[in-house]
Amino acid sequence: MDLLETKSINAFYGNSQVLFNMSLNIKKNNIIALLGRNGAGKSSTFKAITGLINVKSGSIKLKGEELIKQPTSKRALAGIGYVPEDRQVFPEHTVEENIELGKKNNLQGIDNWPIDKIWETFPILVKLKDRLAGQLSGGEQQMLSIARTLVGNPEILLLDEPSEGLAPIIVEDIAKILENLKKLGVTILLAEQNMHFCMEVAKEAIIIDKGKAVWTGSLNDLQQDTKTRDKYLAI
Amino acid sequence: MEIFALFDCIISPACLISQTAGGLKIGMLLFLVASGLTLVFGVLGVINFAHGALYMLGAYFSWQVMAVTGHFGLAVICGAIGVGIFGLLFERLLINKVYNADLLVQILLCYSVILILDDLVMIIWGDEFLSGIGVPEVFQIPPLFIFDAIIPPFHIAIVVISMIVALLLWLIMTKTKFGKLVRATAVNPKMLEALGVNTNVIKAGVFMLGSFLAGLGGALAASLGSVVSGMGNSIIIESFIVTVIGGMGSIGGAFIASIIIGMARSFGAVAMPLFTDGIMFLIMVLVLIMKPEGLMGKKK
Repeated sequence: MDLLETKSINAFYGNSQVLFNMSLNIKKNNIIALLGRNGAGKSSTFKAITGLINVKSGSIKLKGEELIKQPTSKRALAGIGYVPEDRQVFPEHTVEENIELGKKNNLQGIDNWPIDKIWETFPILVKLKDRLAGQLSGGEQQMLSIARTLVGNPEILLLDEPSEGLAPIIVEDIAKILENLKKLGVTILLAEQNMHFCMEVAKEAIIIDKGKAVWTGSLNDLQQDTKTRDKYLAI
Repeated sequence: MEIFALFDCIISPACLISQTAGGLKIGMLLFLVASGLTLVFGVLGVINFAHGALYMLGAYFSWQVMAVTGHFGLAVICGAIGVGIFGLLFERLLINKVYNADLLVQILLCYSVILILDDLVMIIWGDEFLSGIGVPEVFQIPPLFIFDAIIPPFHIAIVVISMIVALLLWLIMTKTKFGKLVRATAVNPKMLEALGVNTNVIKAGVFMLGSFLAGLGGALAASLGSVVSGMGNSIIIESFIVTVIGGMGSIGGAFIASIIIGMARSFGAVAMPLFTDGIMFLIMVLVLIMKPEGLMGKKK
């Protein structure tokens, strides 16, 4: 059984449809890249899975459990972890308070991410503990946003463009953290435009275009397949 | 305008102290009510026009408990808690339906609740003025004389109680998990939901806390004056002025603005006895011109 299974999702922003029969299957302990041009529907896919936009039909199953009727908070408790593209840290809470706000055990009541493990995984945040999140740099906010979601022990991490707007050297740091998370067995669905960044951390990819999954395969194959790349990813 | 009277008052220690004490008493009672209003606005984005009616309910509830038990402390606490519970029901049954509605719909809902409650208390308790719950026995002692200023000990108690409530409110908002969740809900409820927090519970809790504060203000006011239907109508206007001057949603701002308004009323009564209400509005207009977001409000 796949960890996350979405079938034929049709999702809307107000009256305009953004996802058309979107189907995805994500296996456990894996990092999958979700590729697509700007506006292809990557963020909308995440928002549909978390319940932040209106899904009119389809199915979203996590470990076989149907979530489509559940509100956002219940989906998070079920194990959907969401790191939004603009990080959305709470700017007037300290780093430590931000992490505290995300703290929860998984559905089995187990805490795989005690706070010490968070500091170990994100050493950069240790000395920023008492700093207001709004005062952090973009890269630091990105790390905080990931840490805040991890501390809630999600089954899967939906990571929306973590490299966006960051300096290359910071992007390297984020890539190292994702490598580390992969070793720890965290399942990540990684939405990206930066294919080079994806190559470093993921092996498989799904391409979405115009609100639909159009290609699934290995990133190595995609690297060779200029036709597909040109069709769906070239700007 | 009796500007010389104000000058005479300021240079006379007796007048200065008694007017300052009076201003503090008015200001701190106002803070109890206004802090609830600004908290609800800051977190829920709803301007609760029925907040004054909740204040009135606090006065009636405490009057009733006093009539039955004769215990002042119990009357005040039950008045406040009773309004807190009423506020919770009000939020769950009505207010949460209009969180994202047009401002006009919110106002209409609150206004209808004001009219219903004003009539309901008349049906239950009658339309006569009820004499308040009075001053508890321990404070029925001769007033203090400080530099010839006459200060009733109970007024000092009211200021102290309100200061303690202000301190507790500050501790709740900054040091407790609930307070951190409340502040996060005010900033970005959707993100908090995505982290697994049911923000409906937080919102209901905030409305309950805001109602509790209105009820506490009403219960304490019942000890200083009479209880009557519609008594919330003037306090709601003053609370709005405090909220606007302090900055919509800022509890610290409400604290400062309450003291400013208390002092303006107290010293205004000396300098311009026919224009004390006008002074409040004048201060509000000045703040709106010079700092439209309020003294401690955030720029949008």
